[in-house]
Amino acid sequence: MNLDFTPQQLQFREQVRDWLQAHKPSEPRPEDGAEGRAFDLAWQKTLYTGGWAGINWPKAYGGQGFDTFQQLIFLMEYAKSGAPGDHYRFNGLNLAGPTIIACGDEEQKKTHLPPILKGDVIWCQGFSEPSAGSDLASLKTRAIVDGDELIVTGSKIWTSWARFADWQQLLVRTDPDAPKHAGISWVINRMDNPGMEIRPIHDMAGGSDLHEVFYDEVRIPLRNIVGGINNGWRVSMAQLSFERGTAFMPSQIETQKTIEELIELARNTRLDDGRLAIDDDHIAFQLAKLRAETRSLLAMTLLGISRNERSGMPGPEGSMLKLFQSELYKRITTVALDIVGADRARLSGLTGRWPQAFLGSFANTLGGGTSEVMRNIIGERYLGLPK
Amino acid sequence: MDLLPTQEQQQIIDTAASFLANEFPINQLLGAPNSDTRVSREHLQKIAQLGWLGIGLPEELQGVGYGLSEEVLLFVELGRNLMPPSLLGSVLGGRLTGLSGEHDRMRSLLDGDIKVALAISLPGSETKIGESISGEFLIYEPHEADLLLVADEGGAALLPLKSVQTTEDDRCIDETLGVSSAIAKNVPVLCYLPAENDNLFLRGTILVSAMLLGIAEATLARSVDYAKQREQFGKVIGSFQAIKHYCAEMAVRCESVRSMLYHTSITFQAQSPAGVFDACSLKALAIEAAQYNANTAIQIHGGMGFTREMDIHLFVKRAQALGTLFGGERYHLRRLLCEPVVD
Ligand SMILES: Cc1cc2nc3c(=O)[nH]c(=O)nc-3n(C[C@H](O)[C@H](O)[C@H](O)COP(=O)(O)OP(=O)(O)OC[C@H]3O[C@@H](n4cnc5c(N)ncnc54)[C@H](O)[C@@H]3O)c2cc1C
Repeated sequence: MNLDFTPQQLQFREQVRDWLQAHKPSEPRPEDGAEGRAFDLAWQKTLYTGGWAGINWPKAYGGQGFDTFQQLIFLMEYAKSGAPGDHYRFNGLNLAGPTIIACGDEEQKKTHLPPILKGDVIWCQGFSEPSAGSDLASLKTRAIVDGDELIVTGSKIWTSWARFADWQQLLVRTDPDAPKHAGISWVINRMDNPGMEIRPIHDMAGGSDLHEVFYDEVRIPLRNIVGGINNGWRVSMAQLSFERGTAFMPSQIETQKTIEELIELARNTRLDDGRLAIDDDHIAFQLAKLRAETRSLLAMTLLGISRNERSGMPGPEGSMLKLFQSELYKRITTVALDIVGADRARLSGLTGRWPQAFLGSFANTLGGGTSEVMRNIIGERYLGLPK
Repeated sequence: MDLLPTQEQQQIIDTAASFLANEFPINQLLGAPNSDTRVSREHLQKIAQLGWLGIGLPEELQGVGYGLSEEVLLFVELGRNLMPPSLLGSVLGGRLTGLSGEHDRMRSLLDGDIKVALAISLPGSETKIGESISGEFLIYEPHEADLLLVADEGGAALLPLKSVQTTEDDRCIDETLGVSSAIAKNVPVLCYLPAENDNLFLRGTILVSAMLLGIAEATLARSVDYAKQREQFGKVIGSFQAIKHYCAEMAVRCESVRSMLYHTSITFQAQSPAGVFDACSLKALAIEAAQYNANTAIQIHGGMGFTREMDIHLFVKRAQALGTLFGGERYHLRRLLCEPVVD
């Protein structure tokens, strides 16, 4: 049991820190989608040129080949530095890329991995469908083999960033007669493929990064199937374990920043009775509790990484982290409303970020698997309770 | 960086678990009210022979030479097996006397020849702890105890139990523990260790948190076992989501507290600024976890959970009692909010 880093790791940390200080963009990320895309790609290019893209990806495909601890150190320093979040780069870097590394063939790796790291492309994820949300394996989007191509017809929903993406990881049904988990394939699809229609969805927090995507006899080469035909369920399960592994490090540190900012806010905000918010017992105890919970989020992340390092693969414990973190974030934003009081009614001004965060927080306990589904997974896979 | 126990640390866990299961099976406690004497003097000596009472003391003080990380692992097992808090009294008493240069007394404590009761300050008491103590206290396990240990954020003191005036025996919420209240007015102590030298109050906080984690884990394990075997509506109840989701919530609390316990044992031992921040966070989380898990376990066990035939109620009660030792949830949350930000 130790929290020590070796001298080499500490030196590595200095390097990361210095480089990020010198190179992180000084201007904020633009809100507009197209400008945001350009900003994200430019930053990814800077990371690539500086030798910091794909920290734990193999060198052969443009990555740095660093170990888990270097990755951990990098992610911690990255989040602390205030460098831009992953935004549109998220999918390629954390989901599609790692899946291709784990399950793709040589050709797929050579074609698709380097452009992600070089900041040439944005990826999105076409998994969910109107009638296949939590029950993802019931997806219906049909793919028929025709010569050396698949012909895809159907529709997807909730595809984040679809209209700004170049590529998509798409789940399709290649065998309608097989049991539902056994007839699915994971394919790589171009977003400008003929026969596709993309419509943005406007979300409750004012964004429009979610989409419906329709497929009308869209042709995808068979060589774009990753991990073998009808093997897509296994491939996407490998992916969910990345999603619930170190991918949380940045948002864990983000959560820490948020709670500290909120405590600071409470020290400087007057309630309607004239007292400082921090002097209100109810608010103070809630804030302290959130601070404690946020602290344990860090410890849980470190324990999870230690466990993965020993066992060589992420276990179902990742679902505990996902559940804990998303529910915690929601509680933080609710307490924030209590602190800003009537100012919660204004999305503009100095305190506007808090009601805005509250509106956005609903996404966390839905996207990437709902809290209820996380509790099912914990109950069934971690505790061994029957379905 | 590796937050998991090493092989050697895992051995401490395994040895403790099997010793406790053999020597102190929990069903001993069923139907035996007020078993203050569960750990008799002979038992205490036997435990002492395992080196447990001096596990975290340096070898130059005749301890085993392990650190806080090993100590917390032992205390999780003690908590899981509902071992009495006086064992924590012995461990802290050994440390207090050792660091105060009282080597003879320390030896007797580490050998299990002396039993140390823990006391908490009662609500409304104007407590003073120093070279002499004053205040109104509640003493856990006063029977057979020789010494009394009291502590607050300023320091910790050890004094003869007889030197305070105890009233009639009170009844404890946890029927396996005796309690009596006591009033002290400027009672001189045998030794006093200011927190600047060694913060026994926060060390106690961390070790009680470990015991609370033991309770959270024990009640989760019992609930999961029961949910896998009890059938209603033609299915095991663990297949109902209401039950499954309770269990998942209990599991998350265990994971969170265990992670924090390991983390805290390191930052506190290293005397880093994060040590206090972590200890206060840990205690608040551990109390919540133990109480949520134990209380929920009763619900999961249905009517049987409400009876004395099962042991779940003992955990509910112990969780309440332990929560009062070394500062409750409110105390630690208040203190946590005053701490500066840590990395
Ligand atoms: C912000 C955001 C971004 C997203 N991005 C993407 C993306 O890029 N690509 C993509 O493919 N998908 C994406 N999703 C979709 C997301 O994965 C689904 O919304 C999620 O899996 C839930 O599916 P659903 O919305 O159909 O809800 P449903 O599955 O219909 O759930 C409705 C309610 O029923 C509960 N429920 C359902 N099944 C069970 C069960 N077995 N036990 C207990 N309760 C249950 C749910 O927990 C929920 O409370 C995104 C979603 C959000 C909110």
